Amino acid sequence: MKKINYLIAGLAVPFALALQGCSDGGASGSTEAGNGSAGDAENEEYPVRDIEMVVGWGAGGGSDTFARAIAAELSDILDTNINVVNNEGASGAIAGDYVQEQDPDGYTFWAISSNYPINVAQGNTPHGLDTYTPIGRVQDDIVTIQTKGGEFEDIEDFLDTARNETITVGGTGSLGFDELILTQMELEADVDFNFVPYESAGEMHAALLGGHIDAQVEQFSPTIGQVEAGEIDILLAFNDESVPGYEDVPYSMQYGWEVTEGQNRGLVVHSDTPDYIVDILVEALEEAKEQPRYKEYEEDSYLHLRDGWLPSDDWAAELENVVANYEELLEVLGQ
Amino acid sequence: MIEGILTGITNIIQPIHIVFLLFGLFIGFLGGATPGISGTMLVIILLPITYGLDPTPAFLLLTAIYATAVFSGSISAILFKTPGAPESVATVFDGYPMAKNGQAGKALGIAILSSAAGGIIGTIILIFLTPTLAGFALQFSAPEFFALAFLGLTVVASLSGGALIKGLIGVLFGLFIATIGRDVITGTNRYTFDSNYLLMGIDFIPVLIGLFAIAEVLRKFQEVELNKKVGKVITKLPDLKLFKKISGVIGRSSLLGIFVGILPGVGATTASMLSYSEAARWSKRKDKFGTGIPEGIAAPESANNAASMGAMVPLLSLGIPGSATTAVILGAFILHGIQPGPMMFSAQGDLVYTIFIGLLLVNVFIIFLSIPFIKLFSQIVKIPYMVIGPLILVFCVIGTYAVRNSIFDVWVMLGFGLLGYFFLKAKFPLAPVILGVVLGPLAEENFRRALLMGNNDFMIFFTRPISLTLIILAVISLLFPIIKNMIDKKKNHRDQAA
Repeated sequence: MKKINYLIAGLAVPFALALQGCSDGGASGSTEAGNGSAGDAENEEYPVRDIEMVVGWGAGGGSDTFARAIAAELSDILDTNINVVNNEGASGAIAGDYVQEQDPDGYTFWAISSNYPINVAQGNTPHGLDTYTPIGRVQDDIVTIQTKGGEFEDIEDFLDTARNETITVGGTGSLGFDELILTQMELEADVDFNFVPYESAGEMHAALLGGHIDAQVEQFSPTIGQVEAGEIDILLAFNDESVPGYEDVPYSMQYGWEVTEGQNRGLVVHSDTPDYIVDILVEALEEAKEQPRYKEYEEDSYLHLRDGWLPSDDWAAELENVVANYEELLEVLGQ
Repeated sequence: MIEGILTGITNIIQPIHIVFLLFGLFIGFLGGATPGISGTMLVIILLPITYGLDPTPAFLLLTAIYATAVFSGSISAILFKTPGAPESVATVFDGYPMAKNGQAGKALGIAILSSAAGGIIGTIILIFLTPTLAGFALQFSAPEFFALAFLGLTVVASLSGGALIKGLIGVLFGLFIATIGRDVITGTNRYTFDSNYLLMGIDFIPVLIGLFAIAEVLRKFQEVELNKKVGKVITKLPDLKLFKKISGVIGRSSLLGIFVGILPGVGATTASMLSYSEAARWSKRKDKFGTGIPEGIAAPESANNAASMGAMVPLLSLGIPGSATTAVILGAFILHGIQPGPMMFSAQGDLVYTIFIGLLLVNVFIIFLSIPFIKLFSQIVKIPYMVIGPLILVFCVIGTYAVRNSIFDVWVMLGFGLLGYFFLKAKFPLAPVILGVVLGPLAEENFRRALLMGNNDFMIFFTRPISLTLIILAVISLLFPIIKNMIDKKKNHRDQAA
């Protein structure tokens, strides 16, 4: 009997811990809703406790570093702790589910990237655009086409080659952001590439440097070292004007190709979050992205090359456009 | 280079640097030995602390943790059949049986020596050959990765402990588990049953913790070994005779480990699995592997430490992380305003050589400092199993949950725990299952990626020299036992006729 008790105790402790972790937000959230007396619900103080910021990707990646950098500023501005939690999986959809399960009280943020509108376009998440309220888009990271140093003269040489022989282009993930951008480019410039998906950007960079693929879809910062050393050339930036500091790199609109999508990063909350909290957060986020420490991180990571700021409503409208665009592209890809 | 090495030595002997190195070493020991807390996780946890430090102490701390955690995962693998870190999964195969035979101290001694030797050989190669090796790593692409994984999979016969059919079932089962989730190449959902959790696939860590640790706890509780103790653990480094016996395996496995480590996307776990397989394949007593022999510990332990050093090659010279932990370290470099890559050696030469010397020192320290640490740590085995068993469960649950904050992973781990228990009862070999789970994704993705690169022409595997060589080796090793069998039969026949 005693033995069994030990076993049960041993099993119970971790489960109790895990369950507590799951229900924490819910429990305290509902108490608060109960406290809010009728009449002045709108004037309730916010925030009064710690905030959780959920990231759908692992620690160390682009979404994660963004979340941590912005959380540090917001924490100072809102004068509360903000804990960044990585809820990995299913292209960020797991984190999105989690946010929907929490009370819409403004204590759970979701740091999203362009993968969320892609998931919506693909029908991979039950939670559509109307289930979240955008706080603001902070980054609009410029995407480029990169080739091995000296391999191609310029973008026209590259496209001419692609019209005569097979050109393989790497990107991360299948039917993800990179593939959709490349498909858009194919349509605009009337070429066909052979897309090869990679699971990690590192494997893709190695394949490019080793000459196993001809080009890659990538942002500025991950390969800036190789670009400066001349081992990788940036042939084209998907932007509507020349990129400051990289004036010699051609941009897509220069040729009339309407591909200017960037990797977007920003914050959203549950759509039932009270308006006054959303207003507080929009204001706080706008202030946060201007802080010197955050600015320094943006510059170190080459995220300052294009201003990404879009406040709540503007971003909501933009997200509608983006999803419609992705749906079209996915149709082209036969999905 | 000599100048760089001397600067590195001068830098490292500053007291503050030594303090950080030892601090990293201690954290690495502790975290690595705790099941579910891997080196990757430790580096992530300590990352914020390093923001405020100068680059030199910051990276000495992170790389010391990184190098040590890979070793100390073997302590709990040997004592409790619970790999403290994924890299030490193959150490369980022979380490735990040896401990069960009452030779836990000997097993730990072999692990210490092999780890340190692998790490030292790895670092020396790192110091002298980084640029050369980086160029070599770039020759590898999808076809070569597939061929390498294929070669690894063909060893299943040697790992089945004589039960080839069970071994084949095991490896196929492992390969099947690896297919669950969203397909990396086409984005198709496989066996996901509309569950977002299955969409992200079955993670390797809950599977291995379940199959080994949970299954073993269940077995012990059922077999009423509750009051039995592992006994006193006195770590004994190998004597000269034993060292001579395993030095060949250590040397070969270290070289294989570095080589696998420098390949981007393939880490120390794959390296230790591959080198265990190869040690078994080329051994004269392959049937003894899995029963608790020194070679079976020396091979994975020297390979995983060497591979961790190998993973620094593409990180420093190309800016490409070779494994999960080096990916986090890459992030740390960028946060310190340092861009690893082709310019790293000229722009940050002092820092690079200081890190190199630091790594060398850490691997030497492992030999001297792990014995007192294990002495401390193995006090745990004095506690009766009816207390330890539930504690191991608690750590496994917390550790598994912490990997990606997923309660689903905890269920997966418990499910595989039950499965592992039945496998134990059915005397079903676990090594082939692990082989399938580790090498499955590597083989499948790269097979299909290679076909995409080669316009769906299978010739891409045979027209590239490295890929062709590896495939020929795999085919030979598949056919060799059959041919040998035939020759033996003929010989017997002739002997009888005569």
